[in-house]
Amino acid sequence: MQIPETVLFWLAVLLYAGAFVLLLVERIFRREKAGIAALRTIPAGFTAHTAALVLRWLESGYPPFVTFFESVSASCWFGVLSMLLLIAFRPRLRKAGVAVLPAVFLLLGWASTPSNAPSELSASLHSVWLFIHASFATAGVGAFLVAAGISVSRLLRHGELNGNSEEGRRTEQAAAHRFVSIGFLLYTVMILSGAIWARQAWGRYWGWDPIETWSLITWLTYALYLHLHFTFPKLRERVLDWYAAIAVLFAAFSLWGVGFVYRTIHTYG
Amino acid sequence: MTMRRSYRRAVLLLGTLLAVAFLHLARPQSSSSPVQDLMLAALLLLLAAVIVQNVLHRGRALLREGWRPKKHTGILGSLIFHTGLVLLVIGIVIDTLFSFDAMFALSEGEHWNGDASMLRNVSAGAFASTDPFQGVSCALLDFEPRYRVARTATPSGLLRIQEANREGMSRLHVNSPYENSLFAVHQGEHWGYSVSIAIGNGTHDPLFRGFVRIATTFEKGRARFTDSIRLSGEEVLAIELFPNHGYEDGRIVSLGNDLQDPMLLVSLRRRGMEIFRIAIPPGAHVEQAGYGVSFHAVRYWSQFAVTTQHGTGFLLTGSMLCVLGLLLRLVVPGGSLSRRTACVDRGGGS
Repeated sequence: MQIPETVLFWLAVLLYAGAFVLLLVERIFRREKAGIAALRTIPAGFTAHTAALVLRWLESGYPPFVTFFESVSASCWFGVLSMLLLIAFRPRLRKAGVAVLPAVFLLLGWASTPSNAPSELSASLHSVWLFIHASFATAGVGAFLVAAGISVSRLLRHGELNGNSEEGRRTEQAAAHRFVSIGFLLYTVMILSGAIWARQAWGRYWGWDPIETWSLITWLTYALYLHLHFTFPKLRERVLDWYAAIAVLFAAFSLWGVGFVYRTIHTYG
Repeated sequence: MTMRRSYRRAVLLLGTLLAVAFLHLARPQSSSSPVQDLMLAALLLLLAAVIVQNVLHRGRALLREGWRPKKHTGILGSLIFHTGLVLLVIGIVIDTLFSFDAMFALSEGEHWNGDASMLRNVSAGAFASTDPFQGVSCALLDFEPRYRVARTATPSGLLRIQEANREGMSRLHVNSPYENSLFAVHQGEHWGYSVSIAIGNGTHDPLFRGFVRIATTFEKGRARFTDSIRLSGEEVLAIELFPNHGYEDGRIVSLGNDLQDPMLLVSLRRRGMEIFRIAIPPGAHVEQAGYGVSFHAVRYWSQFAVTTQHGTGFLLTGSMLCVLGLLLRLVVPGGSLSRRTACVDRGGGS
């Protein structure tokens, strides 16, 4: 990582952490000004994060989805982008940031601990499918992260929510569900494009490689969430909130954790 | 047992059967991880139970109330998505039952005439043709172990492929297979050296003549290119290739794995006793202990994967419908969000 990219990356981490603190202050001390300041800090962090990713792309010559560090960073970027869009359309849902932002800056910190230098791209990754497949994977996890953020913030404010209006509660639940739906769409495209790429590169659509299997497990986990949502409308919101909060761990494991546990042909770099 | 409970048990049983059937059909080669298998089975079981419950409940409601476009427009995306999923499953089933995957290896200059008996690592579906490559011929014209793709290198073979009515040349590498509507040939990962040798005894009867594809083994991180040929019941010819040879303490050693200055170390053993051991450069012929050994040339060999294509149309159409259906589900009004809200308002549900 070159110096400007390093500076921008850590600036983004600091700004995300600062925004989280401000949202906490708003929540604990009921200072609305802190919440408004957080709304200004998140875009600043996002700008620095974007610049760091662009610099990485320029330095390496390939889209920043390949190494472990790049994959985590890009997913967090998509997560923050999703959260900014959410806040733009539903400013009251900025409380979700209390759960999303710590996940983002902790993930970024974790990703930067091993070597985060750009790697030489292996020949199999020299394909247009890299951009399609990996960008949809990272964007999907970003959407799931925001859905989980909304759900966790709802779980944290459980007692408070009971006093809220039905409409307010439904808006939050609907937003979480919308992000799961978007993430599910992105994840579906990721799996399908990955299968087409695997056919081209390895001669088969599906090989039950651990990452493929865990991606399918994640996809089925979210398919079950959506079906539970449609089939059992009376299902308690808390159950779905817990479900979304736990399901994101599957998504994170399938994208970043499998390589630490299993031998896989989906190597980074 | 009440009707409601037996109905739920029936739904659960049906879901279990569907999940087990899917796992059995789609996973003929089970992974080595029981955790993954368990997770998949549990999720498929739950999902199948919920889907069957959903289909039965909504199907009954639809039969009772009839199709009402205004109310049901929102499920259009869902319908398209699930149609796509069904097509995907049909494509997977067709691929599983009819596909034929195998590997073959060729040395530079060699050709494969489509003979299925020359294939290795064959994986054929229950209804796959036993001889699917009749009339196909592949010749390896040239092989490069480090073919440049952008800034990196990858194994790449130049193949001349002949079919019944056409002939063409194709340079294969990891992201560039040869494909047509019937089959595809992919560059394999494994490659090595192949030596052309001839060995005869005192009466000049050829005991062996031809190419030997030498296996690559790794010892202490260093590659060794060794192989052996059984000449008769008692005689074994052991060969070791040094692609770039040198000498260390009078012993022949390898200075690298690139083909720069090759040398072949040949030793003949009879009943475990070494008859002779001699190093031969390319193009040389030596006579030793009544045997004549010729080392003509070194070439590359490479492995290729050949697969038949089945169910591709279903898979691609299914994929497109899945994406289209999900997009519609997200954007068509009256979709997921409002319906749940409406159900909650009515106090309805399943």
